[in-house]
Amino acid sequence: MEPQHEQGVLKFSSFHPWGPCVALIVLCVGFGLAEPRFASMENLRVIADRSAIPLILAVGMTFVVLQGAIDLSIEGVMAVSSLTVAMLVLNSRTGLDLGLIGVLLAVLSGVGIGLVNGIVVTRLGVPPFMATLGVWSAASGFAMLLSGGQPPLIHDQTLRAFGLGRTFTVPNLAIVAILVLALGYVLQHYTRFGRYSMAIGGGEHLARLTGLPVDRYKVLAFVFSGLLASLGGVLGSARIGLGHIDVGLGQMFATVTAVVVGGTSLGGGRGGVIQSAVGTVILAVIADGMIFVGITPDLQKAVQGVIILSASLFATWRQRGRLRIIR
Amino acid sequence: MNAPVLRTEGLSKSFAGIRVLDDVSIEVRAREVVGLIGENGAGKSTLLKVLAGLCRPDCGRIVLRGTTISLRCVSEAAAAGIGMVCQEQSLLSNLSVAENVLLGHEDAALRLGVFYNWGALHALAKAQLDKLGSSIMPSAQTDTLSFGERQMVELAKVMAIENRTPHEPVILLDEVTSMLDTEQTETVLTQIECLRNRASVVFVSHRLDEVLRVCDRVYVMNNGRCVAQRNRGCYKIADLQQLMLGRNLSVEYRNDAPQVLITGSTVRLSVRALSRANSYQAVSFELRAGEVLGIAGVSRSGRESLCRTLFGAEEPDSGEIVLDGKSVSFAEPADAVRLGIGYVPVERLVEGVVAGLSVRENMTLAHLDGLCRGPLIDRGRERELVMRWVERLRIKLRAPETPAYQLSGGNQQKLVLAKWLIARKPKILILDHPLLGLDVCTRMEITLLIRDLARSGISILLIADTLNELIALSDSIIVMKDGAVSGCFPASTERPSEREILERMV
Amino acid sequence: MTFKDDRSQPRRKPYTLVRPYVPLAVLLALLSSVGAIQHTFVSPYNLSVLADESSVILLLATAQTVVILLGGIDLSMAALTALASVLIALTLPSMKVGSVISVLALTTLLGAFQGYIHARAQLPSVVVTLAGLGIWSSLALTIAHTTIPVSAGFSAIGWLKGSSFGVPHSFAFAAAALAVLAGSLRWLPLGRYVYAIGLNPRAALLSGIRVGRVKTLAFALTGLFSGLAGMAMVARTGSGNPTIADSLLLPSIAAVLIGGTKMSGGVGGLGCTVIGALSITILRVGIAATGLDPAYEPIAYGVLIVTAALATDRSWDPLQK
Repeated sequence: MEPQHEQGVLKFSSFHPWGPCVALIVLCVGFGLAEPRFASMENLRVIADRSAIPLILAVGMTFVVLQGAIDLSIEGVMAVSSLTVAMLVLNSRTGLDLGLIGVLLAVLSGVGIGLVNGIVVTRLGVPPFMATLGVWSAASGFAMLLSGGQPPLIHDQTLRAFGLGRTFTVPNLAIVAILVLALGYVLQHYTRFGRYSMAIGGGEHLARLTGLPVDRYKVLAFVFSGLLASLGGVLGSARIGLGHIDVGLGQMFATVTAVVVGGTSLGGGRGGVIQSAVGTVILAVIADGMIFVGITPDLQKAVQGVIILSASLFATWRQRGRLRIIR
Repeated sequence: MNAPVLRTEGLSKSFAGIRVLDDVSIEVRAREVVGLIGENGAGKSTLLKVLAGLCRPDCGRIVLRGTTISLRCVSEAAAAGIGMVCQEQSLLSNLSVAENVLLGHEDAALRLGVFYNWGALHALAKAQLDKLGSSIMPSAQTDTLSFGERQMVELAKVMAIENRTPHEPVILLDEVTSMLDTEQTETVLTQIECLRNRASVVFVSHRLDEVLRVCDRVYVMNNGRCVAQRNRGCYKIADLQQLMLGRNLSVEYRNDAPQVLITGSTVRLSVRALSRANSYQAVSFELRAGEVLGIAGVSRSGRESLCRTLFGAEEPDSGEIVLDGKSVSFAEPADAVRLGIGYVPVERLVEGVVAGLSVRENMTLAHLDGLCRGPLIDRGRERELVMRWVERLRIKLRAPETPAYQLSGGNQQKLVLAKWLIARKPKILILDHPLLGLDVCTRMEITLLIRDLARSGISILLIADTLNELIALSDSIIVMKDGAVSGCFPASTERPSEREILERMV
Repeated sequence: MTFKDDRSQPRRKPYTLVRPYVPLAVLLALLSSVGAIQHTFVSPYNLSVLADESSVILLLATAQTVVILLGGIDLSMAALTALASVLIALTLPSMKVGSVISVLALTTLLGAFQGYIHARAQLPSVVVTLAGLGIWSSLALTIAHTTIPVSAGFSAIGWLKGSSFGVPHSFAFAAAALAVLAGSLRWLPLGRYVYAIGLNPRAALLSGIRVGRVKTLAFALTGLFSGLAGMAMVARTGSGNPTIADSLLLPSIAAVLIGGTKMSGGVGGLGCTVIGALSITILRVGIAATGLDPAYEPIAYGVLIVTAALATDRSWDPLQK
C-alpha cells in the first residue's frame, strides 16, 4: 500500500522577493531621520566596512542553508584560520614568513574543517547541527592550543595594509566581499553545485531517487562554507593585527540571522546569496543604527534572536499541517 | 511478430509480510501500448516500480531486449531506457521546469562542462515539451504550475529518455490521467497514441474507457497475480470488470449471520456537506449505532482523507460533523479519541504501532489515563487488562514485554485493534484496510471480531481491500469517486453486487 | 494463497549485546586512566569534590535528556542558566527566598514559551532554541556586564553549599531532582508519551497523545532545570555569571549523548544520563588534575558529541532510513 500523500500543491512560503529590500530602505530612512549622523558618507563607509566579513561568511552559509542544513562551526573555523595565518606570516611568535603561501594555507585549514563537517554528516549520519556543533567545539579547542597564552602578533605589513587599506576609496575588505558575492552568485545560478543544492533543499529524497550525487554536494557545501569562514578569519586577523580565538565571536549567530532575514529559509530550497547579502546589510544597518539611538551592543544578540524567530515563523507559517512532524 | 522488448518472469515482491506481487510474468512488445488494470492493491503500481528501478523484486527476472538486467536504482533504469511517471509527483517544486525535465542530465547544456547555458537548457526542455504539444514555458517555476501541468512536465521528463538511449524507450505511466480534466486527459491520451510510433508504453488506469481506447493489449491483475490477458477488440468493459473482481481463492465471505436491520437504532454520526480542498467535496452521510458502513472508491477518491478528517488527523474546509447530536470539531486526533473515536490506519508499522515499545505499552497507549490510580499508572491493572485482551484476541506472543516490531502482521493488527478496545468501549471505529496483507486465518478472526464489535453497538467505518470484503462486512455502502459521493447502498437484506459498486467507482 | 512473514529476528551481532554497557565502560576507563596518572584522584575527598562539580551539569543534562528523548534539542538551556544566575544574584539581597521562587517561575515560563512556539508554529527545536540562546544570553549580558557577587541573603540558597556524610548537598539535590524526574518518566503516563513521541511521532499522534502539550511541558521542564542550575551555580560560586553559558552548553549535551540516549529520540533515559554526567565531569576535572592544557576540553567534547551521536542499530525500525 502506498503511503498517504497530502493532496494539493506544495508551496514554499517565503517573503515576497522584495520584502527584505523594502525593509532595508525603511530602516535606513528611519535611522537617518532619527539621527542625521547616520546618513553621513563616513558612516555609510563604516557600515560597508563592517559588513564585509559578515557578507563573506553569509555567502558560504547560504549554500549550506539552501540544502536544508546549518553550519554552526564557522566561529571555530575563523579562530583556527586566524591563528594559523598569524603564525605562518611574519609574526611575533614563530620565525616563519610565508606571506601569501601562509594566507593560502590558513584558508586551506577552513577547507579541511569543512571537509570534516561534510564527512561526519554524510558518512556518519550525524544531523548537521550536531556535527557542526561538535566540530565548532573541537576547532575552538584546537585554536586555543595554537594560541597558548600569548596571541601571536602579525608583523607582515602587506597583509595588515591590505586589511586596513582602501583602493579608490573603497575598503579592500569590501572589494573582497563583493568579489566573493559575485562568485557565489555565479555558483548559485550557473553551476550544478548551486542548482543541485536547491534541489537537495527542496526535496532530498526526490533528488536521491533521481540519482543525483547528493552526498557529494553536501560535502561541497560544507567545504565552501569552511573556505569562506577561514577567509573571513584571515581578513579579520589582518584587520586587528593578531591571531585571536575570538576573531569570530558572535559571527555564527549573526550569519544565521542575516541569512534568515534575507529570505533564505532554514528549511532549505528557497533563497540565495543576493538575499543573504541584503540580510547582512540589514543587520549591519540595525547594529549601526542601534548604537546611534543608544541601545547597547550587548542587546544585539537578543535582537538577532527575535529576528530569527519572527522570520522563520513568517516563512513557514503556511506549511503547518496536523500530521506534520517537526523535531 | 513482435519480439518482446521487455519481459518479466516470475516476479514476486513482499512488503513487511504482505505479498504484493506473486509470480508475475508479462511482456511488452515494441511499439505497443499495454494496459494494466486491477483493483486497489492488485500490485499494478508495485510492478511498475520494480520495472522502473524504484524497488527490487524478491525473486524473478526482468529481461530487456533479450538480456537479463538487474536494476538497482532509477538512473540505471533510465540508462537502460525505462522511464516512469509515478502517481506521486517526482518534481522538485523550487526548480524551473527545464531543470526538472533534464534533472541529472544537463551535460548537453553546460559550457566548459560546468556552467549552465540557460538558453540551451531551455531549448532542450522545450524540445521534450513540444513532443507533447505542451505550451508550458521551460523557464517557469514548477510550483506555479497546476497539477495537470505538472503531470505534463513529468511526461516530458520521461520523454527525455529518448535522447539518451539508442533504443526505443519503455515508458511506464501510473495513473497519469486520474487528476486531469477532460481536455487534459484528451491531450495525454492523444500523446500516448503518438508515442506508439517510437516507444513501448505500459499504461495503468482505473478508467476502463481510457484503457479501451489506447491499449493494444490489457493485462488484468488481482491480488498480486496476473490473472488474464486480452487483445484489442477481444474484450468489453464488462468483461474486464468481471476479471478484475475475479474469484477470490481464499475463503468466500458469506454473510452467515442475518443482517440485523438497523434502521431503528440511533444515528451516532452525521456528516453534513463536509469538504476539503483537493480531497473531497460536499460529503454527507449518516452512521447509526452498531452499523458497519463501507466506503468504496479508488485510491484518489477521497475516502482515506475523509476517514482521517473524521479522526481529527486532517482539517476540513467546511461542513459539519455531528456526533451523538452535538456538533464537534477536532483540533487534533486526541480530541476525537476523547470523544470515543478510534482509528486503525492502513500502514500499521508506520502509523498504528510504535515499533520500539513493547506490546503492553502499545496496547495501553490510547487510554493510559483510564488505567491510572491517581496520577500514577496502575501497572497491576495494566498487566491484567493486557493479558485479558491478548487472550481474547488470541495475539500470539511470548510475553507482554515483547517489542511490537517482533510481532507478525496479523498480530500487530490485533494489537492496534486492542488499543482502541482496552479500558473503554469506543463509539466509532474507523478501519482503513483492516485485512490488508493478513493470512487466511487472521482474516477470518478479524472479520468475526468486526462483526462482534458491530453487534455490541460500536459503529464502524470501513475501507476494505476488495469489493468482496466490503460487501461481506458492511451493512451499508457509500461509493466515492473523484471526491464526491457517487453512490449509496443503504442497509437492506438485498446485497449490492460488485458490478454495481464498481460502476460507480470508476 | 500463502503469505510469507519475512520479518525475521534481527541478527544479534556481538557488539549489540555489549552496546548498552559501553557508556559505563567509558566512565570506568576515564576514572581509572585519570587515577593512574594522578594517584590522589580516586580518594573519597576528591570524589566528593567531583560530585559537587558535576551537580550543575547534571541538572542541565537531566532536563536535556527529556527533550532529546522527544527527538528534539534545547540549545538555550545554558543561556537561561546564565540569566537565572544573574537575576538571582541581583535579587537575593532584597527578596531572599522569593527571589529564587520568582526566577524559577520565570525560567519555567520562558522554557514553556519556547516549547509552545516549537509545537504550535511547527518550527524545529533547533531554530527556536537557537534564537532563545541568543535572546537569553544577550539579556543576561545587558543586565549584568560582569560577575555579580551576592551581597546579602545568601542563606536562602546557602544550604546547597557544603556536604553531609561526605555527600555534597548540591550533588544530592541534583540527584534527587533527577530521581523525581526519572520516577515521573516511569510512573506517569507522560513518560510513556515521551518515549512514544520520540520513537514514532506519527503513531503517537494517531493514538490520541497530545503531542503539542507534551512538547510544551518538556521545554517548561528545561526552563525549570535551567533555573535550578543557575541557583546551584550561585550557591557554589557566590555570584551570578552572565557568560557562563559558553562553557556549559557543550558539556551538558555531551553528557546526555555519551550516556547512551540517542539523538533520534525514544532510546535512553535518565539512568544513562547519570553515567554521562559523571563521565563528563571526570573529563573536566581530570584534564585540570593531570595538568593537560585546558584547551583539550572543548576538543574532547567535540569528538565525543560527534561520535556519540552516531546512528544506532535500529535496523528493526521501519521509520529509520
